[in-house]
Amino acid sequence: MTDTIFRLQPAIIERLKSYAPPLLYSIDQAIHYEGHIPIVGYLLLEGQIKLTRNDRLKLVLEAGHLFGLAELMNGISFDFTAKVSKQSRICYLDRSTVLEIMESEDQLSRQFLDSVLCDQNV
Amino acid sequence: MLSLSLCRLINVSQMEKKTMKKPMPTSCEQCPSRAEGIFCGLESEELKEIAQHKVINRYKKGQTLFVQGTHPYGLYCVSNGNIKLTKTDSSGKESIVKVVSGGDIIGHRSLFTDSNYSATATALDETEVCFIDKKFIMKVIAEKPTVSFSIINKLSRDMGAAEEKISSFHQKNVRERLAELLLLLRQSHGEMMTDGRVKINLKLTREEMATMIGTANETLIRFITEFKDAGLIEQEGKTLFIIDEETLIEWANLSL
Repeated sequence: MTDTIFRLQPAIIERLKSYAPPLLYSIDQAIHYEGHIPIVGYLLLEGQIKLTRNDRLKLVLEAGHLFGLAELMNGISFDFTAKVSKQSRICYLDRSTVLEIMESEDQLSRQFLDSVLCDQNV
Repeated sequence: MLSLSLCRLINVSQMEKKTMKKPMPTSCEQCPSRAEGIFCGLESEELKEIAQHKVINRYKKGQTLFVQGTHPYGLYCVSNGNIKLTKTDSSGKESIVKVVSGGDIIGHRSLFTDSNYSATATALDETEVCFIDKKFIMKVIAEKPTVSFSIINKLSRDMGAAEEKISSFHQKNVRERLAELLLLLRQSHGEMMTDGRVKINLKLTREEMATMIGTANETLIRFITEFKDAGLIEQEGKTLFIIDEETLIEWANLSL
């Protein structure tokens, strides 16, 4: 039911932050609408995001959660609407950044992405 | 090595099932709007590289692509369908800035100026849109002059249209502005029917049309009735037909 959502450990969060500088999102800001393929993957550094489906609350994400990345790279929809419920700092990983990491020397990030993108077409 | 499997909230078998349901994406080569798009000058191999970086989404009527004030992650290429760009003022009043369709791009201005979106993009009907992330589109622009020229061309047209709109708002009355809007819609979404009428293939509400010409809903309805009574346009359900283009040009006070 929670699809491809991960809670990351501090070491990998630090590494991913170096590829994607965080942005500040204000309360009530919708960052993804259910049923669409995410245009980026989101890593929540601070704050809170609520995931809803058909206007019903399904999950509350907190610092350290990563979502949308597997769907982005697989071209499948992320079936929740993600809305900021407390002011948040979020890193975003787009396809180019993911492909860049996959080709880099950064073994830790590569291994991490390999495990996230378990059945990849990339 | 991190214990990733313990952190994961995923049901892998569910993921595999979803992957199998994945719809076949439209390739750039088969895009119905390729000839009008910014990648029209690229070769097959170059288009394949773009396909690797793009995300294709289908939006239903009323669904939002992006919201005014949010951060732009990249560029949207409209493959087919229609999207309205609206601005909301501090009192919450919404006005349509522009309607884009197949072959158009959106989000590029915010991308190049590194500012947040100045408008909200909402699908007016079933729409297919490709998203290309900023990093990649900047690389393409730097490496492929045909793409840069296409974007410059689109920006120049946008600027021309914006200038026209400003002068129209200052120099023309509501009747002239409505006639001008109908002619613009004829050009962008018109379909010649066998009976000689031109069907406007874009369903806009009266409220949306009113915001496009900067008038009140009631005023627009009054003028539409006048246009219908004068035999310039016809209406079937929500669809408008242009009957008398020549008179519309006169009423728009255009010097063509």
